[in-house]
Amino acid sequence: MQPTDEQRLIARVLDGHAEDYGYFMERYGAEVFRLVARLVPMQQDAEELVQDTFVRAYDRLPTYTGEASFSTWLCSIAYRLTVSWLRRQKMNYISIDERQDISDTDIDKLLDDETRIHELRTACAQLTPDEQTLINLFYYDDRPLREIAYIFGQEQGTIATRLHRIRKKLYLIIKQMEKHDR
Amino acid sequence: MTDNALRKALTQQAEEHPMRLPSNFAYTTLRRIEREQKARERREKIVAILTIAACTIVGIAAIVWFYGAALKSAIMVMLRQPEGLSILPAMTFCALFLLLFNLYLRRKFADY
Repeated sequence: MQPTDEQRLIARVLDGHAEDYGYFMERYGAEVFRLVARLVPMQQDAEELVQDTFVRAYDRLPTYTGEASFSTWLCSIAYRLTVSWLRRQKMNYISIDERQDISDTDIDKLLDDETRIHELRTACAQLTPDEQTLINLFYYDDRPLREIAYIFGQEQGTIATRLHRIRKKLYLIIKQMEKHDR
Repeated sequence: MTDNALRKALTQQAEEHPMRLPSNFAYTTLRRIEREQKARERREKIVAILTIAACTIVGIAAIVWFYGAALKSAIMVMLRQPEGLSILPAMTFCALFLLLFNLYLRRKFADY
């Protein structure tokens, strides 16, 4: 379905045909769920948050201006709801001293080295949910920085800087794991 | 910067733990939206009724406060006169007529 058709469908939903909203859940439910599930460990909590997202989006449908695609708009709502849910849970994550000076070439080399996929997976699991979401949106979903910035409610430059820091963090985690293994 | 290894690590991770929404997700969410909409409408109705009631009470209180004494004496004068109560049947008829007409209109336009 083209964005213009979706706009027409939105107009119909706003006109009182609530059942047409089901299309958006079928179409974007999995995408929103993937985003939430990366941040929230329990399936049930994730499902509930996705439902909250669609309910909130339905309530705010009159304010959707079309400045971003509908899926990006939904993801930004899901992200905000999930972050406030996580704040209430008060979870703790590891921190790494990122002040060390490391060359970008070393980081590039490591993140390109396909013999290190297993270590990278372990390192990714140690990132905060927020960081995991960011790298998944960028590397797995292949979303452009503009869309990620919209979802996170931040500037594109900030997202680029955060990605850079996450890459560095992954490098440091792997180096730390290597030190422990020796 | 291609970060191929990182890309593959994330793809493997996602494919190893595929999480899916339940098949009835859209249905249950639509039901929830319906329920919440009804609850909101009920709340709005209650707020509207309470607002109207409060306004009516304040209005009547203001009339009584400003014109209470004058009204009382006027009613007493009316009641003392023999033809004073003759207006009552007409007033009762009008009130009943308006009440029934209101009920009829409410039923007729209930869906709008």
